[in-house]
Amino acid sequence: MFPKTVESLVNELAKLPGIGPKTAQRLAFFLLKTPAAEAKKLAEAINAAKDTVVFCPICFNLTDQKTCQFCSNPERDKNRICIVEDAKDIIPIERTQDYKGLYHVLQGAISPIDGIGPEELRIKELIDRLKKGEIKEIIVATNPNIEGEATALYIAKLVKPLEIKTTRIASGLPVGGDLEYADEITLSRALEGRQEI
Amino acid sequence: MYLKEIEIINYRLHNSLKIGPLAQTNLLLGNNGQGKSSALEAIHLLFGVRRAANEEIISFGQEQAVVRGRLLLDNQDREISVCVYKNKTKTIKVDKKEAKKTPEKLKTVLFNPDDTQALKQGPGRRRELIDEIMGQIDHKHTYWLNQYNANLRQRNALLKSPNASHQSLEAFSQKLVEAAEKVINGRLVAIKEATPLYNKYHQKISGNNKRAELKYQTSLDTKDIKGSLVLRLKETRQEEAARRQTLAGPHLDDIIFFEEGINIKKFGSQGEKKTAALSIRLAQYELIKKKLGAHPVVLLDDLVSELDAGRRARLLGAPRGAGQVIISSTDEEITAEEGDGKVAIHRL
Repeated sequence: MFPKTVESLVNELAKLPGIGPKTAQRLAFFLLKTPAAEAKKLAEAINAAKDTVVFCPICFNLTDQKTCQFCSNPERDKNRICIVEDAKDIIPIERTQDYKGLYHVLQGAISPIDGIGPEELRIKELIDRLKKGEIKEIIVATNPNIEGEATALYIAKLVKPLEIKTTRIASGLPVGGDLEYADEITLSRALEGRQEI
Repeated sequence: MYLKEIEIINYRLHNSLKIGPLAQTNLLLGNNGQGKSSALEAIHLLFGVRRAANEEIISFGQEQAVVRGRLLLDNQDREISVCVYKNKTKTIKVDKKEAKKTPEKLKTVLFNPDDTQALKQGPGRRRELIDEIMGQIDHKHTYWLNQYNANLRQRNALLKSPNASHQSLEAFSQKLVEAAEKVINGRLVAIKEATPLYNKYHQKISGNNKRAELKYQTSLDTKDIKGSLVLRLKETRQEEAARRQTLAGPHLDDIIFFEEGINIKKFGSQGEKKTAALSIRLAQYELIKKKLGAHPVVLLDDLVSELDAGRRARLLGAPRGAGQVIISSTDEEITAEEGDGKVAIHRL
């Protein structure tokens, strides 16, 4: 229906996560309408990112340096590692400004259905890191869904013989929310994890 | 709760169907194959119960199916719509605003001729039945059931993969066991609450006073579900590895329907199976009514035509009262019989 080049642009865009065929079409036509310089900027940004961004060899966060901004920062607490599924999960944790330790990005969660086992994740590298002896605590911040929970339990079991304090982030009520609006499941979890005051 | 109008779009064979204005008692008339059952199924979906996969529901060549209902809830006009998509997702809107779930008070019981199959086929249908009932009494049951099933799928996939390690299996087992306990406990509650009502309706419809009851059948110890499931998973490890699937848990349990100690599935007649299926739906109706403090909407799918006049009268006598009823039929004569002239007729 369209020239071949347009079609291939649509196909490439449709490969992106969260983009269906219709959105891909809309994006393609938007790009065709924008001035050439603007569109080129996008292409260059993609190129530049792909050329310079690599995984940090220590924690597997994204970086354009030798090691990432956390691993190379001497101010960070070297005794703690927060384990996340994806590099993007670091952003909300950093926003809290309460965590000053290091990270470890697993690059996914265990999901046998998708053929992702522990070998596909950066778990072996995590254990190697922990064996070096500097780490006193790991905080497992994988997502609170089936795959994230299983990954957390898996890591906890592996780490146990190393005798490193292993914690899991809590789940419960959002701060500032009304009890009235909390769903039963979240509220049950919050009740289970109640604390003495 | 009072349904005023239903709109069904791209749902099975209905491209666009409006039913309304609805009265207290409604008759949905149409010939075979005109989509009476689909319409009732769509209304069922509006009330939060999905009985078929999205791909089956959505009309051929369409991306989404929508069911919209205008209704009176707590004396206020509301519009609820449920939209299911090909990619297995679902959105719910209350007054055009996205909501997490359908309002608590929207509840319905669907009487379907197909229900008898639950007493003829394997245990899957009976588990579905009891899970639907419990899910309507306690929303958390559905959550735990989904958690259990998702965990089970992952665990089975793991058992099928060539390099499944002991540790990854353990990780999925732990959450599986947690969810299993909640699911079984939920089903036990549903059975405990439903049994006396089931017995009551069973006697009413059959016209005898034989003792009817429901029992949960499981290979686990219901007093220590977690402990016994952990043990069973340990015992069956080798067999699991060989057969590549999880061999213990609520996904293998069954619910047995008894009449005077006799298993109806095995030894009951057609009529007895039909009576059992109707009685459990009536028990569901009453459980919901107790929980809501109001009548759920009753959907009767072509069922009245299957019954003789006496049984029909006894059956309809129960849910008809203050609640709203939608009956589907090919037979116009039913109107005269059941209607007292207050029946709204909707032709498909």
